[in-house]
Amino acid sequence: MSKYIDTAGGLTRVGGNMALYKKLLGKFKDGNYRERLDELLRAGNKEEAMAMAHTLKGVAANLSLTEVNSLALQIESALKNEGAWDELLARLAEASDATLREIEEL
Amino acid sequence: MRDLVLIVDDVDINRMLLANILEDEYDTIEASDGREALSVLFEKKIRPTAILLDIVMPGMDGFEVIQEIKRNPETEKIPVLFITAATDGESESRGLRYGAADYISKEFNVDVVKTRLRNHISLARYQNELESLVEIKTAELTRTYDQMLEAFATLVEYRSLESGTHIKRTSMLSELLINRLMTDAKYKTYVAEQGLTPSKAHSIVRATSLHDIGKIGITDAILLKPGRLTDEEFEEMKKHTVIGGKIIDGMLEMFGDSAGYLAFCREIAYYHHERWDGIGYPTKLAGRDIPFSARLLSIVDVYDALVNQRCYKPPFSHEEAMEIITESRGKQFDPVLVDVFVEVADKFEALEGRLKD
Repeated sequence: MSKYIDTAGGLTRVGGNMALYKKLLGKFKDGNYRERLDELLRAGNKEEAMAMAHTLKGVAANLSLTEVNSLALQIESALKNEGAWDELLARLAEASDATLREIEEL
Repeated sequence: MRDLVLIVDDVDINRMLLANILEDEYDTIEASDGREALSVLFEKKIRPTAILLDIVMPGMDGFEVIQEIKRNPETEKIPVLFITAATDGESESRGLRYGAADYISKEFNVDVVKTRLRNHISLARYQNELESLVEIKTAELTRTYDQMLEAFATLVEYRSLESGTHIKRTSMLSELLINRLMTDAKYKTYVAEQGLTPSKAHSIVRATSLHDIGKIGITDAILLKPGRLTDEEFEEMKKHTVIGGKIIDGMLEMFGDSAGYLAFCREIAYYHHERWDGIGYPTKLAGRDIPFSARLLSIVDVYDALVNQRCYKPPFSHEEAMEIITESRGKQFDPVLVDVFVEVADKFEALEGRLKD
C-alpha cells in the first residue's frame, strides 16, 4: 500500500483504465505544479499562489494523490488565513518528489 | 442521439478525467476557461444538455460563467453542475444561489457524478416538457376566454340591432391606430409616457370589444329609439358606461385578471365617452387623466358610428367623418391620437369598405 498515492481510488475515477491513469499522472508530472507554486510564493504573489494551491489540490484529489492533496489544502488555507506556509511548502516538496517517484514505479 | 455535456475546467487532467468517465453515455465538449465556455455557448451557439463547471479558473471564474448562462434565456434552463476543489460552504451556497443544479467536490465518486448528472438531465427535460405543456394549455384557455368575452359583446350588439360587425371593425381600427403609433419613431416619447409596450398594446386591442357591454342594462325604448333622444333619455343612455364598468368589475371578481386585460376592458367601458376637454361622461375626466385605452377607442368608436347607419342617424361619408374628427382635435379627442388617425385614415376607409354593416 502506497503512502502517497491511493491507486485503487484513483483507478475507480478512470474506470479501471490503468493506461489512462498513467497518462494523467504523467501530465501531472509535466505540469510542475509544485515548482510553480513555489515560485509564486517566493515572488510574493499571494493571489496567484492561492489559485495555484487550489488547482494543485483539485488535481491531486482527482488523481488520489493523498499527501499532495492534503498539503495543498493546508497551504491554501494558510494563505487564506495569513498563516505560516514555509514549513508546509517544504513538506509539499518532499511529498511531491516522493509521489513522482511512485508514479515512475507504477 | 446522445446528450452533449460541456466540461469547463482550466486543468487538462481534470477535463480528460471527466470526459473519460462520461464517454460511454455522453458526447462531450471541453472548454479550458470561462471565456471559451461562453464562446462555445454564445458564439458557436452550441447547446449542451448539461454543463460541468469548475469554479476557480484564471480570468473569468465559474461564478461569472454561471451568471452569464443564467442571464440568457437561451441557456438559462441548461443544468449546471459545479465540480470543484473548493470545499468551503460559502462557495457551495454561492454556487447554488446563482442557480447551479448541483455542487460536487473533486474527490468525487464516479457513480455519484454520473447518477447526479443523469438525474439533473432528466429533471430538466421533464421541466421543459411541463413548461411547454402549460404554454399550450394556457393558450387554449386564453382563446376560450377571448371567445367567451367576444360572445358577450356580440350579444349586446345584436340587442342594439346592429349587425355584429361594429365590434369587429372597432377592434381592427384600434389595431391599425395603435400599430402606427407604436412603429413611428416620432411618437416614441408619447408611447413611453403612456407606458405602452407591445404586449399592453395587444391587450388593449383585444379589450376594445367589450366597450359597449353596459348597453345590456339600457331599456329597449331608449336603446332602439329612432331619432334623437330627449335629455332625460340621454341621461339614461349615458349610464351604459357605468353599467359596463360594473359588469366588468363583476368579471374581475369572478375570474381575476390573469389574462391581463380585464383592467383595460374596464377602463374602456367606463371612460370611452370622456372627452379631452373634460366635458364628457361619466366622470368628466380631461386630457391624459383619461386612460389611454379609452382615449384611443373613443376616436375609433365615433368614426365607426359616423360612417355607418344608426337607428338615430344616416351614414356619413369618410370625408365628412374625417372632418368631424379633425375638428374635434384637442376638444373631444387626444390631439396626438387624431394626428395618428389622419395618417392611417385611408386604411380605415378601405377596412370600412370591406366590413360594411
